[in-house]
Amino acid sequence: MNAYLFFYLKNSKRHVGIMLIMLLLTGSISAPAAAVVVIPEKSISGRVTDENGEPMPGVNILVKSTSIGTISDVEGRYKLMVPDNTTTLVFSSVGYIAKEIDITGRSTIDLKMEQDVTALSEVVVIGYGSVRKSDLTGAVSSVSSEELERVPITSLDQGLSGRVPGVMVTQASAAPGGGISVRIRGGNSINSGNEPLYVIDGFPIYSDNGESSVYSGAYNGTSSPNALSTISPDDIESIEILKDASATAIYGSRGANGVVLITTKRGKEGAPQVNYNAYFGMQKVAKKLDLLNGQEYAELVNQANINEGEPVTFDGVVNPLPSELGEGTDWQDEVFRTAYQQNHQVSVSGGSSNTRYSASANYYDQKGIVIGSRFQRASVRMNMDTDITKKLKLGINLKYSRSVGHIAQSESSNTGATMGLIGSAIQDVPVFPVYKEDGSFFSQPDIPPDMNFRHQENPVALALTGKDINTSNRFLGNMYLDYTILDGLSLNFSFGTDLFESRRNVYFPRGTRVGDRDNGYAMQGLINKTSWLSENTITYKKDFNENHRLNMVAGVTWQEEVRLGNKVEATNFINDILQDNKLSAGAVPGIPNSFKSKWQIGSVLGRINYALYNKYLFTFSGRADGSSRFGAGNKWAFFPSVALAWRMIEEDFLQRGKVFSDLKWRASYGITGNTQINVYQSQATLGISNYAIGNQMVVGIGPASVANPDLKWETTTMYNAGLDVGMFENRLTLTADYYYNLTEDLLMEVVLPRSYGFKSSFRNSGELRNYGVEIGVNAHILTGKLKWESNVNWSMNRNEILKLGSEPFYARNIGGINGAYIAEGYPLGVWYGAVTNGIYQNLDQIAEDPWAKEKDLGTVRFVDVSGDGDFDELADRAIIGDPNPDFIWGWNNNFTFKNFELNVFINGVQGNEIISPQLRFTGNVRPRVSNQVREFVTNAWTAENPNTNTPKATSGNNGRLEYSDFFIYDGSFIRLKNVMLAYNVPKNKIFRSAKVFVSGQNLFLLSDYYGYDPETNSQGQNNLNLGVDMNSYPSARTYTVGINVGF
Amino acid sequence: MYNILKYITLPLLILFLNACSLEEEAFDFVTPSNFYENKNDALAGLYASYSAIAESNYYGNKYYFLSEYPSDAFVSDGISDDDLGEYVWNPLQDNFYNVWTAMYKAINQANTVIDRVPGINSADLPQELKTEIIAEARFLRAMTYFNLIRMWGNVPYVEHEVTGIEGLDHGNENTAPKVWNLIMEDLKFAETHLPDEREAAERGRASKWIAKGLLAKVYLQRSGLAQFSPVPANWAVDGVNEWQLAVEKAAEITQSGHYQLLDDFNQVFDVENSAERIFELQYLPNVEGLGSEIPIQLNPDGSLAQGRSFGIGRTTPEFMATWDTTDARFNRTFLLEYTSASNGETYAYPEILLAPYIEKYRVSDGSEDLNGMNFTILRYADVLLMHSEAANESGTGDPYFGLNAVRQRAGLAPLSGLTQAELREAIRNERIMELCFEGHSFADYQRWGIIEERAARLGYELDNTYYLYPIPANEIMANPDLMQNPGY
Repeated sequence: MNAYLFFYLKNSKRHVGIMLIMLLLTGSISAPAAAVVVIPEKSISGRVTDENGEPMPGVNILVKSTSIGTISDVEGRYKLMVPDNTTTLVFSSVGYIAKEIDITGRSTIDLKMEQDVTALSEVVVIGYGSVRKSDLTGAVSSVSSEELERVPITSLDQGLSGRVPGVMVTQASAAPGGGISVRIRGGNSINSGNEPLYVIDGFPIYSDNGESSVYSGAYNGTSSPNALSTISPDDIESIEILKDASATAIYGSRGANGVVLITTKRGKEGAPQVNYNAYFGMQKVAKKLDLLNGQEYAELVNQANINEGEPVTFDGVVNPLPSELGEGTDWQDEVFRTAYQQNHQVSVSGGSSNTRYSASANYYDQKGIVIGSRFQRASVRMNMDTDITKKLKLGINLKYSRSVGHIAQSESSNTGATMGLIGSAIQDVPVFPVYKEDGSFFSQPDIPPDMNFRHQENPVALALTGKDINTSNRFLGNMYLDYTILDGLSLNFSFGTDLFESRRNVYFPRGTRVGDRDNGYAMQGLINKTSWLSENTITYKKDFNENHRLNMVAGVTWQEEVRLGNKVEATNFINDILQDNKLSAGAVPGIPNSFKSKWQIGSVLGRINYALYNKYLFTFSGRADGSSRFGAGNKWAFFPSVALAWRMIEEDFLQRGKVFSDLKWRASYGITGNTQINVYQSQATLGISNYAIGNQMVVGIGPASVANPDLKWETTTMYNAGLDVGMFENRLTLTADYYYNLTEDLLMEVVLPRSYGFKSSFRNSGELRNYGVEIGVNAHILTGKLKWESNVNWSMNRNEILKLGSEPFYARNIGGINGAYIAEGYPLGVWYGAVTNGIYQNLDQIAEDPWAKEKDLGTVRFVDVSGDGDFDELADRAIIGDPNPDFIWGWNNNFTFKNFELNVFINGVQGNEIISPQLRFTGNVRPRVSNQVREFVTNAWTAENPNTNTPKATSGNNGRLEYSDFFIYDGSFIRLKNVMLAYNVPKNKIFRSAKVFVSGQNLFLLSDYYGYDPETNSQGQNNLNLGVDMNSYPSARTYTVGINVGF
Repeated sequence: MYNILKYITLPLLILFLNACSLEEEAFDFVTPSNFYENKNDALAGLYASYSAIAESNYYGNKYYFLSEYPSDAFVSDGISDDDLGEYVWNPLQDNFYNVWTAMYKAINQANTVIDRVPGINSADLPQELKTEIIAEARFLRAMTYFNLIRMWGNVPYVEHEVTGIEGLDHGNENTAPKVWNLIMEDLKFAETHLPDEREAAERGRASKWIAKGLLAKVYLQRSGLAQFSPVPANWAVDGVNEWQLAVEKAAEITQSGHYQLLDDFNQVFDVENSAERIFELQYLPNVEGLGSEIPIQLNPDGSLAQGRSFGIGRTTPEFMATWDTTDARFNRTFLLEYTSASNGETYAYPEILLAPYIEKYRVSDGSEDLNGMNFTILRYADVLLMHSEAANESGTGDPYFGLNAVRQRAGLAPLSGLTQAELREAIRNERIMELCFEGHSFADYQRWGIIEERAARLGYELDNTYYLYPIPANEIMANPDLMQNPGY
């Protein structure tokens, strides 16, 4: 493999040279040819309109097979001098069917353009350029702005959910502005990032939520805000998802996880168009957990006491009788609310013949369904393209946004004291009140000792008095200069920056658990990321004749990012007035901390697309990347790809049009990389740890990580075979892909024997593969007055670790339960532990198991997997669950009737499993620790109810359920994700266009899962711990009304 | 057009390739290549070794619980710590892994000092100072290995800094002889090269007396294990008889005049760095990361005027019933009543409380990991009782000297004229009364072979596999060369 790469690397420089010479030659031949054509001339004029009779500006009008031509103006009018012998004019515009018109003997030609429903001539944005959709050789899926507009979303990654085959979107936190994890064709890596690369108007951004906000140590593990929520989805024109090597290898060492290209809206020539879009929404919690009320809970505690032979707790003497408690406190009701959201967007776009512009402003405000949570965003955007001369074009894109998130302390992976808001709302026992008689919050110390209730935190106090605000500012700007040297040959220089700043302000006053512990806890943290990008490309596009079309690009790029920040804390405040606004009011300052890191990546890239006879399409691409993150010996690597496609539809034997309107086979092969590990992993580092000598703090410095100078990229070899079919004049289209991705040199955070003195170290070892099938079908089922367009996507992915290069290990423990088990031969994320076989319902079953004792009656029955006649927690482990779905799907329907539109969007995930560590407390029928989920209680084993699989209530130790399959659930679901009904107001003098709509999201969910929502992973973007539901923010059901108006 | 290429593209390419400096610059950390160069660096390395001993998963919190759970005097609140206090021990429990991890981190930090300091060439670090720093690191290493071998038996033997992850042998097959040897050699080196006394500015750093005291304890433990304990044969203590060495080492301390018993038992816990304390870990109040968590773990929930405590470690009514309540130590050992700071109510045993709390670490306020209470590793009463125990077993020295000194402070009558067996019983009992809840229980019960017997008092039927903890399952997964202890 290395020798092979080296060959490419060595030759790549020469290739660039050859390519440049080729460009010169071809350019100089064609230029004189164009200058030969001369007089005599005649004048042709006319007007171009669209299907509705509206004028169409910007239509290309060309004399066939020449470069003589013009563009229609704002009114759709054009005038053109053509050679006298001209017979045919070609009218073309993106998204419309090109028309060839015979002009013999005519001087006025008015034309109505027809929209190209087949969209085959549509141009698709790919990395560093664009191609006609029909010329694509790679696996690329698109999501248009119309599709995005149908569902109110906070961030653009949400918009991908269920839309595109091969893309799995998981909500890390359903909180407003909460984190999201996106996997394109499965996770290719164990320890590097698995999120795709986002490229926003050419600017590459890796969406690492954890890196984008200051970690607040107070409530451990609470989910990080979404780094992409700073961009308003309303500004997006289109999203392209690049999936195979043919499309992503041009992103080299960052392409392995797929690439999401985002293009924002740009202006078109024409009169200014003003649009105002707004919606208002109302959200309610979609599902509450069915927990015990006060009386039921107290009865259960007493039952547990009786089972253990102890005196009952709720005895009517020290504590009230169960019947006196009634409903008690429903902690979920106390923290959930009906919440409102609104979104406003104003945009203006237009342009003259040489300058086009688009500008918009957006305001978004979402209150969360959990009290105290909220997300607000304001953003402005402006872009402009201007033709300085005919050959020189200048463009500018500017985006600025500010968002403020009030964070609920959800998804905490802690158990005990700092499990956060959702954790305590679920676990807190219903027998205690929200407020004491004097009006102050009831908290843990108010509980008499030895009642042994784990009332961890008053969630209402935490939500209402705790403060955790994340404020982000992001400026994304770039400028380009495009110079056309000759027809088809152009140079593009672009320079851009992404300035991101995120500040976190935290204060937990007394009355919250952390505030009580620390007498007020304050934190201020700041992260500042500055990224610079310079990209310089040369593009050559030439249609030599109908049989040969060439599209080449080559370039050099440079990007560097500096990330720095600081965090200061203070505790022991005299009172809760000054909070984090005045840290010096805290008597005990924390040790201030700051950090700084930097990475650079430099690249040389190139791609050739060549179409032969319009039938055979070839793509070659390559990128050489050098990255600072890697060991001294492995700075540079080369990532090539090759793809070909055969447009079988062009073959005569297919008789185009009878059944098939399109038929294309695609195949690609390539190598991509992954560099998303933390910086500085190849170096040995020393860490700081302090101690006290002579009553003074002294700074200790000792080993913190062990070196690996050989660290290098992961390489993913990708194979893809695909088929595009169009039938019945493209009323039915189908895209199917099979892929096989093999990742080698996996960057493994190998868990070291702790006797080494270190916890883990990064090493390149191991192999992992993903393969799968993706199918997308689009059908125009009804095309009459009632139109019905339906779109189905379905995908499956299989993932397996082929080689680990270390001993199997458990990923990070979550809430006292082992994390995923990482071992050869299994997919990422599986769980490994004891297998249960119901419970011991009767003494006969106990007699069957030699290790069981009579007192085990009513407790969980473990399986002797090894068959050695004894149950042993270590020897008798097996794979007990898999969070990877069998398949995922989405089904999107649009109905149009007269001026009405109806959109129905359903998606689903099948065959995945979820682990619910919170059940360790709420589902183990051990009530002294936590309130209980009702189904576990009503089903609990008793002498009267022996035929059940739920263990008996206990006040003691109930076996080691947390290391078994007891908390693993089927996570399959079908969700009615969106229903939207819209009415297009007929055009009138005031509005150019107007639309009103009502919609509902998450109206219906079909799932067996007991928890809030099976579509969850409280571990966010973690690669290994998938499908974990731990103190997750509940999902909402949303109803919205909105208008879109154009003036 | 050639010109355009020549003047724009080619220079750009050249510029680009020149700009490609992909060296990784370090901003916020140091690396071994630019460290260990002078006295301050050597001391910083040493302080990191101390810090590793004092951290939360070691003496700062978790290790303490492991050193007390095997005793009949100490249980958890019944919710926390995975029922370790109820003798539910298995290799999957986090506490074992956390403490094991912290201990080996401490070993590596000490090894780094031992390996790196000799190579420092700096005018401000003369040879004697180097030797002293190395002796201090070797003392810290010995202390951790002594803790490891008592809790886990045969453990991986590591005597050098780990600088790479390839080709290391960290198995534990019959490592005990090597580990015991290293402990004793390190301590002998330390007692030779550590200073006699520490001035105030160095308070908290080891002197030669702790090395001697620990060495006495090592001899005592090895001899006791050989004579009384049902420990596995591969623990390399068969036939060890070092009672007399223990007597001699303890006597060096008692005869030095450096240390004494304080008159008031309360002062033992209230006065830090006192004449009774030979070595204690130093914690500072109100500095993040420099506090001890033990007080908030042991004080009753809600009992602090400021901050929060959890009351996780409790004592048992069965143990308290063995006490004479007129013992001067009783009130400083058991907390029978307290007033809740949040609701002003008073809770008392046995009216409301099911069991008493522990009084030795009583504080009135404090925050998590911000409590400044030092943790005593060795105090003079411990040395006196070691002396008595070893003297009684070896038949050399006066076995009553230490015992009666301790009894006298407790307001108990002196003993005399007992048979060796009666005296053994009396010394053991005195040790439990004097030193309970101070992190010595596991080692003492293990040495005397009484873990099952004492657990039976709480109603637990144990077999003799409870003399070692299980090697953590995750460690065995990462290192298949490790062998599990018998019974797990």
